[in-house]
Amino acid sequence: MILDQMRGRPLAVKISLIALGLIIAMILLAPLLTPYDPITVDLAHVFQTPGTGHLMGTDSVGRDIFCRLLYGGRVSLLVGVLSMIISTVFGSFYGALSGYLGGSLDALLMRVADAMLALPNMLLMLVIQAIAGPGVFNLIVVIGLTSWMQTARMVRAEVLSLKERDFIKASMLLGTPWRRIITRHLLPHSLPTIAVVTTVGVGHSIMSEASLSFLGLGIPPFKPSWGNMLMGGQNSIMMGAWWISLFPGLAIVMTVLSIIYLGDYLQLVLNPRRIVDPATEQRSVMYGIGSIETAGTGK
Amino acid sequence: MLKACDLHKTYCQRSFLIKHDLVKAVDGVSLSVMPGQTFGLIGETGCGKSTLARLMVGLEHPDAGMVLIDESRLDRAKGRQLRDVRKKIQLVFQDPYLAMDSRITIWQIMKEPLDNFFQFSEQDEQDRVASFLIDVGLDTSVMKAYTHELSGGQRQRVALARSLTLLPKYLVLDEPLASLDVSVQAQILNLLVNLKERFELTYIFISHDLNAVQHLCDTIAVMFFGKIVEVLPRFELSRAVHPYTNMLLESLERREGQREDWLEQALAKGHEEAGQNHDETPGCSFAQYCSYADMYCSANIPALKQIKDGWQVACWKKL
Repeated sequence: MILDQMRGRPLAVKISLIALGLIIAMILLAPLLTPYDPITVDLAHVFQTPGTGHLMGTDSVGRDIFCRLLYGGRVSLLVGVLSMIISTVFGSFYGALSGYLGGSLDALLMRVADAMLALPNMLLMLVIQAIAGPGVFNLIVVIGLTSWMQTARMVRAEVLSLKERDFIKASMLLGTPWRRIITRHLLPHSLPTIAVVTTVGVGHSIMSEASLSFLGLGIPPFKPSWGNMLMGGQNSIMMGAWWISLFPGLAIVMTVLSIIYLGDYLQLVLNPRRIVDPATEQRSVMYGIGSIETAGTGK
Repeated sequence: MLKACDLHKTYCQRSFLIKHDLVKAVDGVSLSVMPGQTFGLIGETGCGKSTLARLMVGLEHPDAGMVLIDESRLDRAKGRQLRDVRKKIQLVFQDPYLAMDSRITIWQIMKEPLDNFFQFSEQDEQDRVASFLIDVGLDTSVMKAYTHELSGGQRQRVALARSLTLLPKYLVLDEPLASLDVSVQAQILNLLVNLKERFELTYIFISHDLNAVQHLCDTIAVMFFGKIVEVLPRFELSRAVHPYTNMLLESLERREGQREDWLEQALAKGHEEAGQNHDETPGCSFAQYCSYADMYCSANIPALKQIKDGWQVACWKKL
């Protein structure tokens, strides 16, 4: 059944689906796939190269990289996806509200967003995290609340042009309250923009988690996450232990790319025009790949 | 009664820091439409017809003047009051495809106004939507379709059905035929005649097509450069007074024979010149194209003057 669904989709989408599915399955089945413990230190087997009983080698204190990668993925994906959901939902409504209502409220809301953009993101996260304390939940909220500004600005720009269109004017004439105009018309029409910003944002938030963890404010270093594995392996690269950083890096790249491709494809599928017309479908798919590339270089 | 009193709307073309070009889209328009009337508004592209339509339904805010709908002011209304006044007047857009959300089905488009004003049950809503669709000559199966799956004529019918859902008294039709091809135009025109009787509507029919206006309307107002130059009953059209109205009529006769439209060409050329020096002529805006005009015309603005019951002309020379 799933195979039937996959038929006819672009190659990039198939690969992304398989990769993401594989990553999620491996993360969930972690205890079955590896005999090691992600935290226990084994000083007898430090800096093992990949293949020597350890599939991806071991790090500076002898922990199995493959094992830590699986357990670390749980934290990284959770933080990446959940914080992006917070930031997207908040940013979209914030931007739509600001763009649609306009006037002095728009000016006020946008200056607040600008002020938050002007502060270095890391500083902002450090301060909030220092107040809120460490922990996965706080991490998600902090990253979510410091990354919505870009979404808000993009959605606002989209809404500014949409609200001059006839169908929005028609809704106003038919007495639709502004709340419903935003939720029923403006946000659905902004979906392509939102999808692109969000999927790129997942990558950023996984990296933010890594930086915060590295600075000791996110996940404690002994607990695995892709971010702190990547950071933790930096010093060892000089000693020739490339595998400590490489594998978490690859995992991040694979996940982020898959999500970007899927997100880009999702906004095509969500467009009702596509359902009927095979000719436009072909064209939209080509457009899809084009915009994936722009999204990729933007990152 | 629908009344517009001395409406002004000026658009400001901002070119960065240097010069502000003012475009007087609507420049002192007054008109009154009686219930049951079909009021035609005619004028070439760019004379301010659409702006006037938007002013009258409250989509644009007038710089000066007021819009009265059954004694309540539309341009001052706010909140709940605005919603109630707006229920009485609806606008049908030029291009129905642009006027409807392309991401939702016809059913959702049609039930949106009902959701806004009433609390009907799902079944009740469905019945009402179906009956409106049948009234405009559509099959109820279009409810499941998206706008891009319909033909141009079907879309305009849906747009009409949607504006009828709130049972308005006044319907402003902003060139409802312009986006359709000729065979469909006639069908929609006949549909408009039927709907008017069925729903006891009052039309303000805006068009640049004199034929359609002649067919549908009992009173015709002619607009030129943001001003109404003549208002006359349909049966007096052949005896029109204002030189511009006569120019339009002549162009119509010529068009019977050949598609080449000398008037539009002449006016397009005039527009280019007028775009530069329009404000420099303080008088009658038609003076520079008018064969009767003299110094007095280009120095003084003529006001609309009643010459017979229901017949007003703004011209110095022909009165």
